[in-house]
Amino acid sequence: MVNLDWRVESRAGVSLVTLVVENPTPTPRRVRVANRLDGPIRPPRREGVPEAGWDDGGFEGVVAAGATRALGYACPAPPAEPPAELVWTERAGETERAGKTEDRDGGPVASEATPEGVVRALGTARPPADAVPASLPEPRSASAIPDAVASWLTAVEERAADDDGDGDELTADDSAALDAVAHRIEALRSRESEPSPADSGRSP
Amino acid sequence: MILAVAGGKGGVGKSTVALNLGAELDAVVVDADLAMADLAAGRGPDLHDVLAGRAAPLEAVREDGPVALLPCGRTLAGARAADARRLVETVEAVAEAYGRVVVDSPAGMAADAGMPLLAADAAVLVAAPREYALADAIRTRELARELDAGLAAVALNRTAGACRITSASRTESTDSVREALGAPVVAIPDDDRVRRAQRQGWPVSVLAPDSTPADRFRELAREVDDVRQFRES
Repeated sequence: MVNLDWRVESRAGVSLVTLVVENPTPTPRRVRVANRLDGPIRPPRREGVPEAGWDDGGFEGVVAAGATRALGYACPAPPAEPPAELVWTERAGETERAGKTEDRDGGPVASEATPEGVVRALGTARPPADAVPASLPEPRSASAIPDAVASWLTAVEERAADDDGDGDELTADDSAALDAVAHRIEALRSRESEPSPADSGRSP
Repeated sequence: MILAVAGGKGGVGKSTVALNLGAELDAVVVDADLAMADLAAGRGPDLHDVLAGRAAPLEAVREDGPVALLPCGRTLAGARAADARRLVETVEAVAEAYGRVVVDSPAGMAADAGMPLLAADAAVLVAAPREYALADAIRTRELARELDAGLAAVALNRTAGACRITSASRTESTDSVREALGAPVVAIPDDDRVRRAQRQGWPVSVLAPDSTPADRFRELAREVDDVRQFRES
């Protein structure tokens, strides 16, 4: 029958589980190995995609006749014994190959025709983070400005844009008000930028 | 039916072939060149949004141009956020709604180039009449085979060649491409009208319906249709 040999060690709060599945029988067998630790499985990945056979609960795959298969995963949970178990085994179908991860003939071969298999075999082509221009700060939404201030500013903007001489352009009062507001904002901002721990989390 | 237009090498005219073939086949053209989109996009959701889960595939299809198009965004940030694995289900959803889809593949041999071939029933390879472009086409054909997208035809794009050659060597190169790739070869002649139409986002058949290039794209579409009928029978 199929045997499961396990070892578990703990590092920095993460359990590292090493498994060897041995199939001494003369036929290839499909096996299901389940995680018994109290945490999610962190399966081995290739190109950011979990290796074939891994899912949330464990691993499923074929062990060739008279062969062994090494498996390993991490789990952010305290170690327990045993860390994993064989849930079931069955005789593998004729067409099922024992899992192979290396490329045939050294070429870029998708070992399985799924989107995940293609990513594993060919590698992701996402542009690297360094190539992406740093995102500009989000334009501050209008709602961040109090309504009264926003409507006054809009009115002044309309008057400033209106230069057809029909009497509703920007007035001297407007200019004085803008100066006064700018002055007060400047004063507030300079007070805010003084080092004060209470202010550190606040946005200007 | 889903058809991938692929070619390994960049700059051989995949987008031109995809757009013109899409027009002849009355298909939706999906611009799957995630990092270097080529086909004109307007406003609205694009393929980046679909692959990032922000829009449904059919929302992003534009039907206002001469060819229905699912355009791709042009930002690197969008390309980074897009999950290429979703391309297969996206293209299949468009095929289910519209029938025929032509996928314009990116250059290279990474997963984003493999995904259209995985989704496709058949592939059209685009090669430029230059040796290194042919080598890339051969590698792409191997990948297409692995992913079960049979080679329907080869478009030998002289528009991208930009080199003047004699008619004798032209015949010779068409023959050598046929021999190397083992598929019907349709040569697209070097013609400025193709480039001009492409800049407008049009197939050449809109600008010059009776031109030789328009004829050749029709021929290419017939080759593809033959493969489809063969597969369906």
